[in-house]
Amino acid sequence: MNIAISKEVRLKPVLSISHLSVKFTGGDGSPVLAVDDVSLSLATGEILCIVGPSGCGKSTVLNVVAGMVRSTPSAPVEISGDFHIATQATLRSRQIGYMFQQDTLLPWKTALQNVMLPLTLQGRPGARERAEELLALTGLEGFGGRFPKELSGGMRKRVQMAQLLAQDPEILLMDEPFGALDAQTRALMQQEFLRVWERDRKSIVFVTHDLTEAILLGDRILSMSARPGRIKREVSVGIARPRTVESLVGSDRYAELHHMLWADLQAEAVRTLGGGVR
Amino acid sequence: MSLAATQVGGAAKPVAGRSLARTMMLHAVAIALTLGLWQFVVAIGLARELVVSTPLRVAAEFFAVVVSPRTWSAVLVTIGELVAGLLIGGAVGVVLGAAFARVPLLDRMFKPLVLALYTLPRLALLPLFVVWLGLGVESKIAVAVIHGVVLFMLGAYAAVSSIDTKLIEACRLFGASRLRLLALVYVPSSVPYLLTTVRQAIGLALGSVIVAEMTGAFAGMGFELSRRLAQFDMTGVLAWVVLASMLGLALERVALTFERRLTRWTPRQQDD
Repeated sequence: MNIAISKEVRLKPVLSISHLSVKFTGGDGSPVLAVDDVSLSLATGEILCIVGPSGCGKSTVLNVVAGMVRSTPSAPVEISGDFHIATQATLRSRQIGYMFQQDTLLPWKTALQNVMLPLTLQGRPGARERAEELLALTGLEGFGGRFPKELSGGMRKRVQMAQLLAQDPEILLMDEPFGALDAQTRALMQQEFLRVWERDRKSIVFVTHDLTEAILLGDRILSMSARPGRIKREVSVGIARPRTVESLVGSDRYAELHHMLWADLQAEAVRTLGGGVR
Repeated sequence: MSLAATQVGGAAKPVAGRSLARTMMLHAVAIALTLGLWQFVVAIGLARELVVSTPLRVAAEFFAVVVSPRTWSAVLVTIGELVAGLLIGGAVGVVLGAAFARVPLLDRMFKPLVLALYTLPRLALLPLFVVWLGLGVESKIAVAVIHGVVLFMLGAYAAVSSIDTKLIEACRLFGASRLRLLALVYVPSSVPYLLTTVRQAIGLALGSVIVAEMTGAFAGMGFELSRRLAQFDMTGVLAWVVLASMLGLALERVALTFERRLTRWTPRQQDD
């Protein structure tokens, strides 16, 4: 049933990128092709995972969409191709949410104030009540008055999640959001993330190098090649939701996907090392 | 063990109440021993009272100085010069430091000049200030200004260059305008740096202002001090030195309390 839904919604992309290439200026002044001819589309309510070796430009794709790649005279960046965001709003700030691997909570604001931030910036009424609601939803009831330094890494991630729910964007871009957590906390956060996502099914591009994470969370997975980043493979996960790590890891489909994607990554690693790049 | 704990912690902790009292008692003993030695050295004639005075006489003179209204008008003059100079110098320094941190070209152009200004013994500029501004409060304010400019420039530079750009990106995506970013990220993230700078600047500038007053002035603590020196009233000189050091300590404590209050969120404070 769940698969049927995701097939139906796939008809309507909320984000489409066509032939995106990004050229940076390297340390020695020579141009470096970071992203090469990447096209993808994200359907409404879908989680699209991008996996690939480190430095393959998967984060760059997200950063371009979020408008965070800027060309400066000292570090020119050449962006070609096109991306299109299909929503009615015109302000980019309300359309795109971004979850970084690093902490992006303001350390001088309490958890509650941090969650209220997107609401007050957008001038929405009832920010405090809504923020308290979201903290409760992410399991942080009673922690609203704490400063980020007084919370554990996992709790700070929960606050970040609540903050993004408060922003309520059309599209969520997530760049290895749980990458800095220890294995146990990461597994817990993945489960939490799925639980929250099931409620309102945001459209998400999720970048990770953790294959299990990609298979657990994604509707589709793109695997990218080492620099210059190209899309090497696209697969549909095709495992019914709701998923849990326990049920997933034993399944045949999981083993098959993991094997396939692992082979991709390994081939890229061999190519990079064998080619003597860097 | 208790000594080590108080040295690290610094401030009073409820648990460490007893060891704190003991430490304070030890401090009192150390002070009493030092003062006793001073009195003793004079009593047995190892040093002449005319030159080194005695703790008892200095204490008596100190109380006489403290109750005199004339003293407080001198203190006010000095504090006024200090505060005026640091406000002006601080404002200029913060703007310069932020500009250097944000504009790489300016940074590259002025770096040698800034470093030269930093290593320069700033009090050496005093004769110039006296020539330009006279012996009044203006030349003393100028001394505080130059401290303020240099220290706050470095403080603001460090503050702005250490801002986490990810925080700015995140707030921008939430819809923060450039002006809002200033209030949301730039200012609060600079506060710890600038408050530390305030403490540094108070210590350095107070000393320099007093020395500047000593070399020629019409009022102020340094003026009072040098007047007693001219009369070879060593008891009076020492009483004013004690007053000056107490004033410096008090200002520093006020600034520190303010700093603690405003930076509750920093990781460093967690250990306190």
